[in-house]
Order: sequence, then structure tokens, then C-alpha cells
Amino acid sequence: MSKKTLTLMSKDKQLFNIEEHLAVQSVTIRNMVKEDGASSVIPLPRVDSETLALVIEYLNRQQAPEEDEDYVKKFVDERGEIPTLLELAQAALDLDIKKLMDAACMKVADLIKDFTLEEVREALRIENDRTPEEEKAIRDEFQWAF
Amino acid sequence: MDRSMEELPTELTIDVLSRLPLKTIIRCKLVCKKWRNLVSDSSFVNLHLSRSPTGLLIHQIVKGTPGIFKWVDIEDKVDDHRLNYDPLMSFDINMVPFLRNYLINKMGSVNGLICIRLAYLKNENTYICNPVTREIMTISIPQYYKQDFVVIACGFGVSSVTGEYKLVVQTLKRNVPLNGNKLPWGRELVAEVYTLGTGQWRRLGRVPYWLDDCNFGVVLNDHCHWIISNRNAHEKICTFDLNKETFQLFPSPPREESDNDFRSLAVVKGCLCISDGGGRFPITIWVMKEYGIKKSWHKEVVITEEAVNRCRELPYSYDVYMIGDLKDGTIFFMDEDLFAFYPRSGTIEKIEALKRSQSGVPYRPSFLKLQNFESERVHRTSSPMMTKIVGTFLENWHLWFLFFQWSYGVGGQKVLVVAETFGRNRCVTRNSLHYMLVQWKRWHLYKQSDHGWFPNHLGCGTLVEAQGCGRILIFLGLKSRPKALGAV
Repeated sequence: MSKKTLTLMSKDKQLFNIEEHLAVQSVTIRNMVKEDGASSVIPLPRVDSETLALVIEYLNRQQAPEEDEDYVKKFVDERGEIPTLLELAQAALDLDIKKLMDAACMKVADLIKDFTLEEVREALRIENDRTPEEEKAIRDEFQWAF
Repeated sequence: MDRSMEELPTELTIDVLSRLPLKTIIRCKLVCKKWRNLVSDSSFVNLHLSRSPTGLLIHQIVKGTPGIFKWVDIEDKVDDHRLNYDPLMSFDINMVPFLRNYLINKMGSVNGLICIRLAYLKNENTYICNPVTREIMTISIPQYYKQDFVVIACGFGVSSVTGEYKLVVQTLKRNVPLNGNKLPWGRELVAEVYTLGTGQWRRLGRVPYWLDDCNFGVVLNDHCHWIISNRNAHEKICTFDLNKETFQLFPSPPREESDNDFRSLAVVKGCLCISDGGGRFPITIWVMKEYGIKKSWHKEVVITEEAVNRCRELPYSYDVYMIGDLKDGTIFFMDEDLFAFYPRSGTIEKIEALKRSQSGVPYRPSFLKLQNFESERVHRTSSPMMTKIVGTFLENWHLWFLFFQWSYGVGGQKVLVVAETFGRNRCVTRNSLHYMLVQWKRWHLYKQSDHGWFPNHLGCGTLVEAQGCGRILIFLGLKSRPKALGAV
């Protein structure tokens, strides 16, 4: 019996093939397959092609179970850029691939933990929208931590 | 790949935040409004708690005060461990006005909340404290106590079914005449339970076992566990089911008449464990491999007399009160100080960095807000500053009050606060101060408002050094206004 192949479609309409038994590591895909057999293309409207390529690479890994932890860690380590990691985490969240999401979030946390506030905002492109009063209130509330 | 975190689902933001170190999370509240709200959000609080690593909370004695809670991060690896003690991770109990004159007797901890009992009969309140949010909740005295009962044992835990935090006490009726020479097991031993947020105690009736009062009951599997003192009981452990609210005998290790008495309970390797002692050697630590199965009690560790003798700092009492263990096998115990026993080498070491510790519990820091419990009296403490006058500085100068603090990580800029006092040799009062915050060399004037911690008794020209929380307070005499401060 030949292995069944699924086709995933990224946000920018690129198609990726992956064997079904590997794709179902994603709980989202597993549920889709269960529901309608997923004969046609599975659209992933929030995942771009670059990220999807990474996810596919991750799903296609051929690791022994005991080496899996290390592999996942290495996999995200090699993609140490915060924007890439966030995309990956987002895709892992949408596709419900827990291990990948955990590893990506952990890596982001590791990267930003020594940043200053300004650096955090810059890295994650967040606008500073709090007023001095609010800042003071927080500093007062958690005075011991500053 | 051009996307900001704000577009990312809240779930992801919470996930990343919950993996950061405690202090970094607090600083991250300053990143933006959304993050600030997220940290207070219950889904964040719960996720963070589930990931919050277990460390130690130590109650350290400071002469003449109720002492300090210090919490210690533990880098816990299979082959090694490191204790990371950050001076900011502490809570000066002296800052709580209604605890200032008391000594702490016992404490228990669950989910980052610490339950405190005092050593005085004149204050029979129980307090719940979260050192992270700086909140203290006062719990009224149990009903039975009002009728001439004394509290002898306590337990504090959370039900995993209902999520309710429960405090259970066993009380004993005082002044019941002794029946001949018999030990007073037959006296009125009753129990009461208090669910946080309900504001009242509920009676549970008589408990036929005399629960050991050495510390709070050890919590595991939704049960509190105590050693019992009843000589004739066939098991030496009693449990309280936090869901059903019932007391029950629980299998203890098999033992013979000549064995030492059981002394302390703890959780080791995720299992219930019990140690004996009482001045006789060796001290045996038993571990219950399968919860509730008597046959699964296993002699895990034996502390020999030789090991104890080799550690000179160990006091003579030889009573080992276990706190918990690490992945590399290290077992922490208290004996007037904090000690670590290393089973591999069979040696004991005093933890010097945390000397003068009186008691300790395993502790997982959390952001659980006591204010969220309805109908409870919750007090928030002000800054944990402690001050000490170390000398007198120059007179005749304008005085500036410098406040340096060092912090690391997110928001880790150096901050310098300057306050002006008016006139010469005039007492520095709270109303006569302005604070200036110097940040990135920009000056912001903060009008002094609510700094209750500022010591009123300090006069002008006093050089002050404040300890606690890694901050240093210095009074400096300066001839000119802060222009010159850039060079300080």
C-alpha cells in the first residue's frame, strides 16, 4: 500500500506535499483528516510559505523518540531570529503542534529575557502606549522588582 | 515576515511571558498596556503557575523583628544544582504593621501563597501572604478557639477538583482535667476548615488523632499529611482529604518497637517521604513509591552518625526536618539552619548564604492575587526598605537624597532618585521631599506622594545606607543643584 499524501496550501497559495502519517502530528490536520478524509488541498490561510516550509521540514524529521527533544531544540536554535520564531510559533499554534510551539516560545523567552524594555518593544514591534502615571502605578505596585 | 507581537494571538504572548523569569515578567508589565493587563489575567496567572519552578522559601531571623522571607531559585539538573539567591527576592515581614511585634512559628506554602502562624497566643489569627504581590490576608480566629481551645496543628492546600484554597486546623480544648496519668489523647480534639474567599470557619467535629504540630501538614495528591502522636495507633500518619474534608489514618512505614520516632514528612522525588530521628542514629528517610500503598515504603536514604559528626555546624539536636529534594538527590533539611544532605557522597553541608534561617518550605512563586478572594481582609505592604544610619555627612550643604538601584534584564536601566530637603539641619519629613527620577540622563520630577517607607527620624546630614532588596540609599551633601549630579 502506498503512503497517502496530503497537500497543504500556504497563505500565498503555494502548495506543499507531505505524507499523511507525518502531517497528523498536527492535531488540527488530524481532525480535518478524520472529518472529511481531506481528499483535496488543506488551506492554511494564516501561514506563509516560508514558515510552512519550516513546519514541513519539522514534520518530516526522522528522529528516534529519545533524540526528539534535542532535535526540536536544535531546530528552533538554528532559526534564532525572533520574527521567524514568532511566525513558527504562530503556525504551530494554528496547527496545534505542541512540541514545536513550546520550543519556539521557549526560545523567544530565552532571547528577550535580558532585553531592556526598549529592546523588547523593538524586537516585537510594540508601541509604547502607557502613560507615566501607569508606569508609576506599576513601579509602585511591584517596587521590589525594579 | 513583518509582523509585530501585537498581531499575534494573546495565547502566544501569554505563553512567551509565562516562560520568563519572575522579575522580568514584572518589568514586562511596562512594555505596553496589553502586556500589563495580560500579567493580571487569570489565564496568564494559571499558566505561569504551572511552569513556575519550585524553589525554596526561607524564613530568616533578624533580631528583634519578625524576620524576612527569602526565596531561592534552584537550577535543578539531574547531575548538579545551583541555588540562585537574588537579594530582591525577599519580603521583610517587619513592613507589615500588624505583624511587626510577633514571631513567626510555622508556615506552609501552596501555589505561591504562604500561610503563617505566629508564636504568640495573644495573636491567634492566621495570615496568608503572597510575597510576589506583597499582599497579606488576615484570617480570623477559628470558632472553637473562642471557647478556650488552642490550635495545635494546621494544614493549607488547594483542591485540584474545585480549585478552592483551604486552611484546616486542629484545636484542643484547654483545661480539661487529666484522667490519672494518662496522656491526654482522650481530650477534645476537634477540627475546623476555612475556604479562602468565604470569610468563615466551618466545624468538622472530633478528630481522634493528635496531629503533630512541628509544621504545616505536607500536601500531596489533594491531601494534607501529618505524623500523629497517638502511641497506640497502628499507622503513624493521618491525612486530611481537601475535597471530602475528612481525616483518615494513612499507611506509615513498617517499624519495630526499637525504631526511632518519626520526625518529619516531606515530598521527595514526587513521593511522600518520612524521616525519623530524635537524637538517635542512623536517621532513615523512607519514600512511599506508590501513593497509599503500604508495601511501597522504601528505605531511600540513611544519614549516618558519621555524616552528622563530620558536619561541625550541625547543632546538637540532630533533629532533621526535611524540606524537599532536588533531581540530583540532594535533600534539604532544617536544623536551626538550612542544610543540604548529598546522598552520593554521604555528606552534609550548611547553606552559608542563607544562615540564620528558622524554617523553610518548597515554594513556587506565583502571581495569584489575594485581592481576588472575596470577603477577605487583604493588606498591601509598601516598599520593603530597611534603613540603617551609618554616619553623619556634611553640614551646611544643600542636601540631596540619592537613591541608586541596580536592576538587570528588561528595564534594567540604572535609576537614580534625588530628593531635596529644605534648609539646614531640619528634620527630613515626608512632606519636605521631592523625588527626581534620572533615567537615561533625562530628568523627571516626581512629586513625593505616597512613600510611607521613608524614615521620618532621619535628620539632615545623615548618611544612610539602606539594606534589603539590593538597594542603597545615600544622603549626599551637594553645594549645587542636580546639574552637578551627572558626575556623581
